[in-house]
Amino acid sequence: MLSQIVVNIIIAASLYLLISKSFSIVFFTAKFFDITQAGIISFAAYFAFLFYKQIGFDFWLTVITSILLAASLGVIVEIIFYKYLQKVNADSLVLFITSLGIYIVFQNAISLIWGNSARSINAGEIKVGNEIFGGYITTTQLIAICTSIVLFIGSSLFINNSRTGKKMRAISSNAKLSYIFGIDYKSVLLCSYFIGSALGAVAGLLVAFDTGITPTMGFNLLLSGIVVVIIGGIGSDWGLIGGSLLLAIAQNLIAYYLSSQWMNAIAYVILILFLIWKPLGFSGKRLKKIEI
Amino acid sequence: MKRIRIIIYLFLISSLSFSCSEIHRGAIKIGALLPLTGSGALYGQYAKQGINLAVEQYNDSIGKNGKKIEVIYEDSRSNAKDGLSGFNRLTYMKVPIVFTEFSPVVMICSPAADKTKTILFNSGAQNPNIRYQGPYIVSNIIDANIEAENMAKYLISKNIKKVCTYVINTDTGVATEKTFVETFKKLGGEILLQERHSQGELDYRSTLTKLKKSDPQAVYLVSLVDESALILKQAKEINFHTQWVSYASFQGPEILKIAGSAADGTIYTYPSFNPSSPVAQDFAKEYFSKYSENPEIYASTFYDGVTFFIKALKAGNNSSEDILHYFMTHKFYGVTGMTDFNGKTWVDKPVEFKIVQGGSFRHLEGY
Repeated sequence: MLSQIVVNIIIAASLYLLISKSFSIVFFTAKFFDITQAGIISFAAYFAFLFYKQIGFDFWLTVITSILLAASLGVIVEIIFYKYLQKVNADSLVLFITSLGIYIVFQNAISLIWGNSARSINAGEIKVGNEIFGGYITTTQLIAICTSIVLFIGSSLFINNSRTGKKMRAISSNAKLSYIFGIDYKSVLLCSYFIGSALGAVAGLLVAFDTGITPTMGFNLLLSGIVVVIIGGIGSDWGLIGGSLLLAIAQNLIAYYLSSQWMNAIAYVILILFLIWKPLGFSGKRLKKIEI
Repeated sequence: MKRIRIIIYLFLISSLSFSCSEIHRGAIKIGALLPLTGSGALYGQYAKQGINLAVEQYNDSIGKNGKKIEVIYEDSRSNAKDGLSGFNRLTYMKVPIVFTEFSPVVMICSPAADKTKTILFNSGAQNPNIRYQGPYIVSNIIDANIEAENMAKYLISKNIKKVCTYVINTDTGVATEKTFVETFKKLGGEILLQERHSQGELDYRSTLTKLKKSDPQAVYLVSLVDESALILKQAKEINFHTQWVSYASFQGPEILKIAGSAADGTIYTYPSFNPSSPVAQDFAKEYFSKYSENPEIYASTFYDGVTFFIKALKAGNNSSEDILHYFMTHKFYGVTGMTDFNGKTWVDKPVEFKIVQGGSFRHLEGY
């Protein structure tokens, strides 16, 4: 049974890693808790349901279209709402509340279109997973773990080494100074929204093809991602890895030894403990900020 | 300001014309509070089809001069909040009876039904606590307690004595689990584990791992149809093979769509429905000619409920008090067998056992 628990932990941790990365990319540059990301995750999953199950698209066409549409949705929200609010100097609380409102609209839209019940995209024959040291893991789950790790490393490399990634880091450090140095804040912000939303969309698809979809799935996933970002420390990749593992271990052990109904509760207990005793997370580092 | 005034006038005129079109003068109005949209819409559709067929048959039979029945539908969306709003709108229209389903809706509307003396006729919800809600809340479908007792007896008769329960953490789930566990233990069975899950969960692997470790002969699963399907799918994926047993809510198209072969062999209780009785055959024939599909149990229970109400009407009962008294003092033989309240607000009808076999729901031979 231990091997099955380990398998369950790895599956959950890899997913949290991807979600936390998607959330932290947006938070990194926009500097507020963008709850709309939860709606983007759900929409990506439902887009896949629409294209794959209802319309009958090919698998890869479904994946690409769903990710592009969901990522575009993130960008559209930024252009229509956040851009305007930032123009009128709205603070992060106003942006947060707006994002919460947009998320509720998204969730209701999904409920109205597809209903509230759980749905499954994977229509193939249900098979016993592949055995690894006594634990069982399906091929979809193996793909999900690999995809999450590859995208996590890829996006980290992009932010650390690419020209756009460096601009994102510069804006995160000091937006005004970056502007003086000629960095186009708006386009970099749009880029971070696109990448963050696309990563969230991939996470949504991975869950959709592995377990199933519900209109609230995005919110539950994003909350786990936010907890990981806070306990891992903002801006630290190792912190995110440690946070994902800690959360996945805690949740799976509590589900195994107590009840699955405590899974969300334990996430918040960990969050509160970190906020009290280690508010900067595992990494313990503040983001570098260069002042003029 | 002028524009606002015009909008208000237009709104008032449109509301008035809507109200006039809604109410046919002289018709007997009855309410139907069903999930017409949302996750339970499929069950709402079954119910609506059953109700419409019964009403149509009555309206056709009375001729042009008789008082027709008009059904006013409200959408409960299968949740308590919308259910109560819908019920309040129906009581405002002074309907004597409201046909409904889904436990959260029945439970939330019960106090209002008793207060307004409106009969809340439940033909779909199986929460065992519904029977204690009050004199105006009547059910012509067996509750989950009866099914749980029957399943416990069945398992013991098959020498399955080490069982786990896995239920959804709702009123229905918890109450059904309690009855099952009590009955099963009383009959000499052993409950290895009692697990619950929240509504809307997607990942059940941790709990399934725990259940697998306890190595039960069977797992009694009480959940919504979507959740049940995901549980069976994930159980197969982690190579957890056991005898899954469940109750009536298990039967739904999602089980076959989502769980597929993982659901094969699952045995569940179901309100007894004898399709070979003449009443049931006539109903099935009429139903098929109208909707081009075979009737589900919920279409049948609602059809029976409305037909029983029509019998009460024909006997000269118009007020909700008189109709309720008629229900309590008369028997009704319908599509789903004998409805005999006998002074109670709930029925005790036979239960049948069904099995998922080769991608379809079948009657379990010998039960």
